[in-house]
Amino acid sequence: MAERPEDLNLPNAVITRIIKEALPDGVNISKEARSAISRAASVFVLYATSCANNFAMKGKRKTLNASDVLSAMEEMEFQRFVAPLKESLEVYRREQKGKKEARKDKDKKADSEEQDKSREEENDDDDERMEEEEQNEEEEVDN
Amino acid sequence: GPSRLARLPLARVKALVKADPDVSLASQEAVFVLARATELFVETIAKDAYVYAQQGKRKTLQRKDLDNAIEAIDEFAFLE
Repeated sequence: MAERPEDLNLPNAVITRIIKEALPDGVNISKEARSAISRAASVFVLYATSCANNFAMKGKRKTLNASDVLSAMEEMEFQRFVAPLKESLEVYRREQKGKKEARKDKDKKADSEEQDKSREEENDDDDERMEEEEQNEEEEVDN
Repeated sequence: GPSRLARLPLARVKALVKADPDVSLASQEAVFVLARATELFVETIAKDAYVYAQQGKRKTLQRKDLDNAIEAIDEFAFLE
């Protein structure tokens, strides 16, 4: 499924906020400069993806993983990003683990509340849950 | 700080990853790290460009500041 070109832009508001927070107070950014940075950011993602994918292929893996992205950063001469990225990843992993456990508890609670429903309805809910879990392990990129 | 979660929406970053025909699967973690790396990239390029605005005694970052930074800095060669 082809993406329209405009779908490959990153949100202007977020880009602007990141720029403003990086610069001293009172500094402004022209619309043209902001657009140029936004486009550069999209190119950065595309280039980093391609680079990371090479590492995945070298490792004979079909799934691009976090360490492939970190290897790509080193390859692209952004080694100084690696340490902060590893830190962020640790926080992200803890958060995801917390979410998973919260979901399991919620499911346990929902199961006991659903015992009165028909069997057909319960099966549908199981299918939904399974789909969700799969999505949380890997984002399938259909190509 | 470095442990702040990505603010770029992961869905948008994922759409860019999907645009690569050679990529079949990407883990959610990979998309997250890419998003976070892109934020660091935006911070970096903005700061590097700002040096040129300062040289021009301006408080507004302009397109030419970006162009100058991209031309001068090796890591930004992929943008040329």
